[in-house]
Amino acid sequence: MDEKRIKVLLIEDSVFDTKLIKDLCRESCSNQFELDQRENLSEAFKALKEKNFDLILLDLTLPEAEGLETLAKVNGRYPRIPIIVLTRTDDETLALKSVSMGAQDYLIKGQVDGVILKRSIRYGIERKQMEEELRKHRENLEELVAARTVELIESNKQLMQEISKRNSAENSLQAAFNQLKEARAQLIQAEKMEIVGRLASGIAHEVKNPLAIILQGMEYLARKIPSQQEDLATTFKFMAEAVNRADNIVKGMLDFSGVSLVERQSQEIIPIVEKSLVLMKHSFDLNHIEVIRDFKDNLPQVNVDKNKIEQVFLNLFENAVQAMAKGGKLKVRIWAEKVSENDEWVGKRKEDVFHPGEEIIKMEIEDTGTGIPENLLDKVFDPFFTTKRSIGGTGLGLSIVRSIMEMHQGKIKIINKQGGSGVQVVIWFKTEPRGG
Amino acid sequence: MLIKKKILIVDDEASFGKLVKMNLEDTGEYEVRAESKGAQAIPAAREFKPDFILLDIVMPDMDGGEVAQQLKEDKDLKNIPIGFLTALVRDYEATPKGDSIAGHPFIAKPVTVSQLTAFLKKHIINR
Repeated sequence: MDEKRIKVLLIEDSVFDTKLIKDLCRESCSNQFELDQRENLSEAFKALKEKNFDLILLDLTLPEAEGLETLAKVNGRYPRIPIIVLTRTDDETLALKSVSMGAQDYLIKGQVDGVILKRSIRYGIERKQMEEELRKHRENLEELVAARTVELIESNKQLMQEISKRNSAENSLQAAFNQLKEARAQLIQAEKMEIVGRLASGIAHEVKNPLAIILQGMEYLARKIPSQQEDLATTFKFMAEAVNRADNIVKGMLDFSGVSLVERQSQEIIPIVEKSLVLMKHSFDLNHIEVIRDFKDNLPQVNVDKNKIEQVFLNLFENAVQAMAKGGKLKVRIWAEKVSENDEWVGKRKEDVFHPGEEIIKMEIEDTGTGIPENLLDKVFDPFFTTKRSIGGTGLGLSIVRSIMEMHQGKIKIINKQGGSGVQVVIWFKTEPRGG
Repeated sequence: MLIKKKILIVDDEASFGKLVKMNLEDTGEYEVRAESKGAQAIPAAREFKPDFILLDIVMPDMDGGEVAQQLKEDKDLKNIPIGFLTALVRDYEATPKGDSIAGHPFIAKPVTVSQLTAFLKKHIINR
């Protein structure tokens, strides 16, 4: 099994000890070992550079610290070559220290015979080989772990990408779902409107007839009672007012359902606003409301039914006045703007009313009133929804406003003002091409 | 002495017709006959010879439009002016630009006595 001779380097300065070791080698196994000897460390390193030794026999018969330092140096530079330490004394601590520092074995000069030396060298080499294999294994393992780690990082990255992809898919799904919900709400709203429209003319007839009888009957009775009976006169007055209120509800319903009969013309928007403000002036003055105009010049024209749009403004101004019973400020802003894709109510689809890049007229009407309770905000456009029943509100004003805006392919929304009380109404109008 | 104008009112709401009769007659300027069936409009007009006929539009047996048509086709009655009194339209739609239904003026219910007399005066004088 030993076809190859084992190359041993003996680092030993003592001629005597060198001879001793050489003799031991020759005695036991001269054909198996190829022994080189060097006197000091620098010579030894030279030799180690030139030749691949299988084992180093290192003399530690130097002052203790120096000897261990030598061992550390040799082991540090050639960690893969097994080292057997030679000592002159049977010193357990030194022996253990040298083993813990990487020596394979320690031999005490004078107690060593050829057999022990041979065995020690063989074991040393074998052990080192095993250590080496273990080390390789460990390195291999580390490489594997590193490789796996890289793979894991990679797949983690992919996973993150997939998660973000899925998130964005979920987001667009959510957006589509919201659009669907919105469309459904609009459909329901449209259906409600249609039903109200159909009901309106029927109800109008059925309600107006009895109202007509009551009014005629009251006038008759009022004439028949002595005029000095003040309480009776007051009663008739109340009744006449009630008839008038009921009639207004019916009229409102008819306005609401008859809203499709629009007569549109290309015109300026500001004169319509101004006329509505003039009509409301008395009411504004009475309630100490200051009107602040912020109208931009050079606005494009709008294609609208003047009377219907006036009805929109009057309704909104009337609401503002009612919200500012103790006075306040009504701010009306009008300007033109090109809408972008990200704006509300803007979309690329054919059925979208506003398209990116389109020039529109925007209007904001702000009051400094009491605002609308958040839970009622989405009800304000519902037919017959009102918080003002006691003062004659029909709950149709804003429904009519919205219907009129829809007839003009416009949009309206009502929100509470950010910061500070009051309501902000936002209106969008489609415009006519400029210079056309 | 003032000659009272004769008004025929045809409305399926009998109580309404009767109240209009009482209110108009109380003014001292009108003599009113009230009918509650469309089909009775023609015989009543022949007999009463009114200066003006007020017609309700929606009536169960014969509607105001049909009555107006028959009146126009009758050589004795075709010159009597007709006005519709209806719950179908809004009052302000009746006033501007002399709007009309089938060529006849109209006034919306509910209506006050003064509104009604103003309407009658306008259309009887314009005869």
